[in-house]
Amino acid sequence: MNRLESASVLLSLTEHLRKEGSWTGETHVQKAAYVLSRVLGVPLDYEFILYKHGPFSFDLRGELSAMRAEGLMAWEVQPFPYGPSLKEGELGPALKRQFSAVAERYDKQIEFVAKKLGSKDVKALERFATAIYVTRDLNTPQPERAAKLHELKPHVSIPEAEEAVREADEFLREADEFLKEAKAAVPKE
Amino acid sequence: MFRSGQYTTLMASRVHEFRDPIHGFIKLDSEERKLVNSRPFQRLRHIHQLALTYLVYPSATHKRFEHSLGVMDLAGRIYDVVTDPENIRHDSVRDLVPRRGEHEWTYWRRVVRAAALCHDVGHLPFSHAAEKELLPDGIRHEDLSRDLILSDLLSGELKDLKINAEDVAKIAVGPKYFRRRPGQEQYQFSTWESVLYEIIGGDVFGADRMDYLLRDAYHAGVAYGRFDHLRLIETLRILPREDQGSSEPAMGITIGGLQAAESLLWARYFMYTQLYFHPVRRIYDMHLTEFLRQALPGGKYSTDLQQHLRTTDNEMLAMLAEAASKPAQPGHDSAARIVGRSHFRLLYESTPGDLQRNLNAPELISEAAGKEFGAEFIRYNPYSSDADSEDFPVYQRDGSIASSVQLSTTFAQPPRFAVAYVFVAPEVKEKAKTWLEERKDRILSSAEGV
Repeated sequence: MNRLESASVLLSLTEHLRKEGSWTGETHVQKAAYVLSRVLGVPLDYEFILYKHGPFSFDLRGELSAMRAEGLMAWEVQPFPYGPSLKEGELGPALKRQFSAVAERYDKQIEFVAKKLGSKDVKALERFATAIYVTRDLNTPQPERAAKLHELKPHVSIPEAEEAVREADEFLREADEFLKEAKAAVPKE
Repeated sequence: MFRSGQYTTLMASRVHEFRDPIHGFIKLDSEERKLVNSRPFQRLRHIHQLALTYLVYPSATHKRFEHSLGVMDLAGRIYDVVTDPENIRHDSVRDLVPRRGEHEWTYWRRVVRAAALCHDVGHLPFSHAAEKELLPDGIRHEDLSRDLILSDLLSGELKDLKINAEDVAKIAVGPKYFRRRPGQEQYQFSTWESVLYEIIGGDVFGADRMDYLLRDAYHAGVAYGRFDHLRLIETLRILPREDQGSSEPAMGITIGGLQAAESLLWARYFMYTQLYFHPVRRIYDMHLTEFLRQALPGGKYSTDLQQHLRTTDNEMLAMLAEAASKPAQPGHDSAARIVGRSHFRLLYESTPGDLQRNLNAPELISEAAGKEFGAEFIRYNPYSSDADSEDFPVYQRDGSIASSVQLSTTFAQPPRFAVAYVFVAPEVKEKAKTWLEERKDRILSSAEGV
């Protein structure tokens, strides 16, 4: 995908998250984009490392910053105590018009991620996304992964980490089924 | 990684001073001065901070050397403010920060200042100009900074400072570049180390950003980059992101610093629009890149550290002058355009109206102009600012924490800066301008709604 095509996917992801009731701050978009690319296979070319609130991409932060600078996205202020949300900017309609085919191509994956993550707050997203990161990195039983999560994010308690790892396993199983079904649904030539 | 009791003493020895037009006197001790006197650091005396910008703003001839000293000075001040027990109000932060005066506190202060000094030692000639094109794929100057800090070239100086080179490298280049080292495990940045990196490289209040805005504005002779950095630094705090429902700490400010933070954002906007995005500066960077691509062996800079230390602006400028005077030399045309000031001229600059019609407007115009006049007469340069975040925690008078975006319309609707330029060779400029006036509407209409 070229830059504007990726931007159209990010804008679509933002709108799907909002539709699912997400507050859609930068952290929400970071974690959803991580899951969308690494678990659902949407080819967003951002490198993720374990940093702020779990998996984090400096490249994606740069892209979201550039999108705001270019008017493709904008901040929307939320009532106290909530932080700001990302929404479509004044050039958002032009992006959607020109690249509608790209966003449509990945619509099902985006919808799947938004439905699963849309209701989570930052704390829950941090636990969940870090659990996915640890699970993909360490092929070990749940207790070891929970311990690793707690070691990486000491403010996440052991019981919270155990719950997050269980949730991550369930999500990865559902995502696997979703991808198999999506593949089977593609008509054979 | 620091371990308690690992180092027997961190006593500071004699204090030395540098005069500096931005910060007054920059002080450092004898061990830090050894680092300044090292070969990798002295090389920065010969790397222009703003590449060829002095061809547009004649006094912008300052170097990475004084910038790095400035970053060290600011980083030390920030460290002192954010670790002051009086400035810590949350248990989660108190648990994180070493106690002032204890060995560990002194150790990390030294690491932060050394990291600030060394954060740019990997810079290529002419700083950022041409970095992406002239290093092997995926390598950036931060990778070279990290490798230099970890090499024998600085090990003696860091040993004298009694600090661990790996800690310095981490805080100097941050998690994005540190983890790229072959064989490194993925999980190395603790919350504390992440906070320390933000002191230098943070994309809101980092010492690097503060110093380059103030210094570039001063040397370019533009007033736009100035802001009340002393007030801003006094209000910096490590805060849990309660505004996001999280206890993970990040760098923020008290409410009293909000206007100083706003003025930094405006300073940045003005500097980008007036200086960093200046079209003539941009085209000089392009001519320079083209020259170096032809003149350097294999069209790339070497990543060998010894070779890196031998390569500064001086050697490149000598090559440039020679190539400009000898038509048979590789890169002659680009060199002659720089030396003879016959650089390409601005033909088109993106506008909101054109982008509403087609987001690819600048690219389409560049392609059409290339077909009409020949690609060798046209250059295309899209440009947007570095990563930025307007969303950071603010400690309010009632003790609650809110997002900056909620408290400030400047942060909620920040000034925008992104632009794309199309340049044309001066020999066809007039013809091209007439052509664009006649054709622009048709070019955009033909591709409208694509």
